[in-house]
Amino acid sequence: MTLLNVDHLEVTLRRRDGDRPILRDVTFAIAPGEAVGLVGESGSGKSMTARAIARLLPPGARTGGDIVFDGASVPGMGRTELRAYRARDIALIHQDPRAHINPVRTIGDFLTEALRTNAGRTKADAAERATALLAEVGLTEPAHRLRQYPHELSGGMLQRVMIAAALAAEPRLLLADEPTTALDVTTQAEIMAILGELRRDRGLAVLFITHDLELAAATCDRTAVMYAGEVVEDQPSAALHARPRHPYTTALLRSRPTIEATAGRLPAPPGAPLPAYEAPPGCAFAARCPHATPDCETERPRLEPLGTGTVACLRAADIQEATP
Amino acid sequence: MSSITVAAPRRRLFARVGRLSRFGPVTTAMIVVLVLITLVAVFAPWLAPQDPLAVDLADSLAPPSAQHWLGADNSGRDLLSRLIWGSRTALIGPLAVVAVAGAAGTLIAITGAWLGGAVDAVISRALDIIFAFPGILLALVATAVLGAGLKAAVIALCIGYIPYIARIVRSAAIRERDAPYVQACRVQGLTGVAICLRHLLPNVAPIVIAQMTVSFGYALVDLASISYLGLGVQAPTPDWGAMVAAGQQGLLRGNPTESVCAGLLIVLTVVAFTVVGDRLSDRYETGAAR
Amino acid sequence: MTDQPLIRVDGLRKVFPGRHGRPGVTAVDDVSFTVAPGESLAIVGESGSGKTTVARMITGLERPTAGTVEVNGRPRTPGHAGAAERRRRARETQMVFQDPYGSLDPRQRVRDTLGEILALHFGLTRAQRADRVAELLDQVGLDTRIAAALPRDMSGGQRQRVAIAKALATRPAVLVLDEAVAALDVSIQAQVLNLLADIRDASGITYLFISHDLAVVRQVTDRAVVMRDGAIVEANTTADLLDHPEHPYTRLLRASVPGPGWIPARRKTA
Repeated sequence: MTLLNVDHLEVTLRRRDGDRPILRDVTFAIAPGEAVGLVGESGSGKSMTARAIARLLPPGARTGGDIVFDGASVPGMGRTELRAYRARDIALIHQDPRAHINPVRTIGDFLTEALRTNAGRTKADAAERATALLAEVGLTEPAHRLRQYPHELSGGMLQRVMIAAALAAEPRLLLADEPTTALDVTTQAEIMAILGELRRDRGLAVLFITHDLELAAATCDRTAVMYAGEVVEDQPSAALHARPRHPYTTALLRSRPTIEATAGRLPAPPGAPLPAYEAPPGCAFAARCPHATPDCETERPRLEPLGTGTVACLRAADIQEATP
Repeated sequence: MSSITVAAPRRRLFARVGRLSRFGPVTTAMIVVLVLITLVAVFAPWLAPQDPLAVDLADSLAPPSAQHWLGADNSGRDLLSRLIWGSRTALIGPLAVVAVAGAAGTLIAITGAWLGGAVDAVISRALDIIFAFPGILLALVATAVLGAGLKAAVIALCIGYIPYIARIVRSAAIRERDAPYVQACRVQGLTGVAICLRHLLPNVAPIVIAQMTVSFGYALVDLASISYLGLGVQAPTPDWGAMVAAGQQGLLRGNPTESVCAGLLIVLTVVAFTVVGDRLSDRYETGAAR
Repeated sequence: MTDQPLIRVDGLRKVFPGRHGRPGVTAVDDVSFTVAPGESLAIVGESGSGKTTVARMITGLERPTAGTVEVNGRPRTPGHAGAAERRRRARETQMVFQDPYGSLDPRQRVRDTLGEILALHFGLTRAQRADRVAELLDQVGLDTRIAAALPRDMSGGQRQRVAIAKALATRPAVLVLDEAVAALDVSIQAQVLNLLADIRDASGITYLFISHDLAVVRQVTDRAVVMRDGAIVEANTTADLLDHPEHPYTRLLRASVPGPGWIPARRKTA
């Protein structure tokens, strides 16, 4: 039984100079309580996927395919249903917490507002709940924090506040869009620990979006890799890391220097990552792929089951690769 | 001679209108208005049907007729010709104000932004002091010193408008000063003057131009007000602001043409400059250049 | 080969004065280290460690409150430097910044950006300058056609390569890289790291590599210095520092790097 099912999702933005496809074919699923990592470089469409799931797309965007949450189709939701979905079922946290918190209102106001309007709690009740949440995410003096303003808190602390706010409504799915990218590595470790703990305690499902394949592989149950607006590989994290099937995943893994030893020369793929609207016919990665054949340039690969997951590569079955 | 020189600008005009239509219909219309007013000002001697200074008291406050298309003013001078000639002071005055205030304001702002510290503090305080003086008051002082006339009014406003432009340029310059590419220039050994001229100035120029365009409208209103009060352009020189004042006589006697026409022309010109200036501001504020 | 270090930093200190009644901040407190010619030294730290401030003091963008910076045996006096002295320093140390989108003047084409620096430092004819521009672009792996491009037509990776070319234009002895690859996509980051290694192999240039990313530091540097709250807490060869960290903070950093089998632990509350 899946909680979220993203089925051949397409998103196209309408612009003055023509349509711009951002997502071409995104397919993956999240089970209740599961953590799925969504990894990609610039232009892969990973942020747009999160926005599509929350139905927060820019005006004029067209979607194709479907997003099904607990049996209900998200694009087809009416206004009341959508509000309930956003308020109670899902929560979204972003890379830059400072940009998403009103700087002229206190932390307490920020946390209790949603509780009072959506859950109908009294002011005192909401404050008590907010204090409890802040303690859960590891902030000292939580009652005092309620009275503080965003500028008095560091980036790491604000991100904890965002997580507390996200959990206040007891969502079933947390959409985390690069929540630790702007944080120091030690703070990142803290935040990941908190998220892991909260996840286990509440059975919370998480969609963890990041450019850091190592981070996703270490902290998520499954990892999906995106390139040029589509999912190109989807596997349990350990399997993906040990035995990537898609040449792009392999390239990504090998491009990162390791902390254990110095590689002679990093096997970086030539060229640069593409957005969906610049993708050529055929496989979007073909121009940079060491295994490309002439077929790869004409035929577009689809996600097919292979081994423990799915891969979108015409040659996946032929290539036997393991990371060094 | 006149027919040849008039035809050539019209051809260029049509070509430019085509290119400008990407600005949207309202802005394009305003740009056309500005171009027309400029042409009227430039070609006033050929466009005005009569001598704007020719007095004929027999025709005082005459209604529109074949001889005076818009009628005549209190002294029997042809209104249409005076309105046409008035476009000159309407454009030259604000142009001088905006050019001088723009240049001086930009220079002062960039200097303050670059040098920072005590220099910037002194400059900011000086600008604040000038800011506090209403333009009309400055004009009064200038008139007392230099005698009445357009020159005094323009000089007063040149000084008065410096802070408006300097403030905006200063914050833009500070933003650019802290950008990595400017830091890189410092590490590369470029002198402060070279960096300011070759890097800061071109990158704040769009904002300066947009601000100058908007200020043109304000300067026109201020100058017209000063002339209305009798301090700016002196009779008998035609000037829209002065004509609004002079036309009061006609208003009281049932012939409002002079005040109304002069007033409408001021409004039209100011709106046109403000719309175009705002559009330019929007474009450059969203970093279109980046 | 001389034993004299290329850079010597001694007792460096930077205090930013407080404003509006707030106390001042000691960003750098008594930092000393040396960099040998041809070496690649990393300064590792998180935000607030002072590593960027140290880099800025070495390149002259920030004036030290105390302490000395010596390059090639010559001390860099902290006062206002004349134009000639600044040009001389520009031929010794250069810097590449983190943000590829702010590193280039948005109104200048690549050939003018590079040409300006060449014109300032070297008395070349126009033809010689054009040749040198082509040479620099080639050195950073860019097609010469990019000479006519504006920054907004280029990708992040391309911009960063141009920024490196700009820094190399004065033929500096030291290149300070302040998180120069942190904002790049992983595959592009790898390309630029390879490029930096190639440049060092070919020219023997010295790197001062500021970074928070331990894996990158391992890849690119010989020695490393760890900074925290303005002070150096540990210094060693990069390999030893990462394999056998001694200071608790270094160990914390090392343990915070995700990898297979990594379990993030809650250590402290905020």
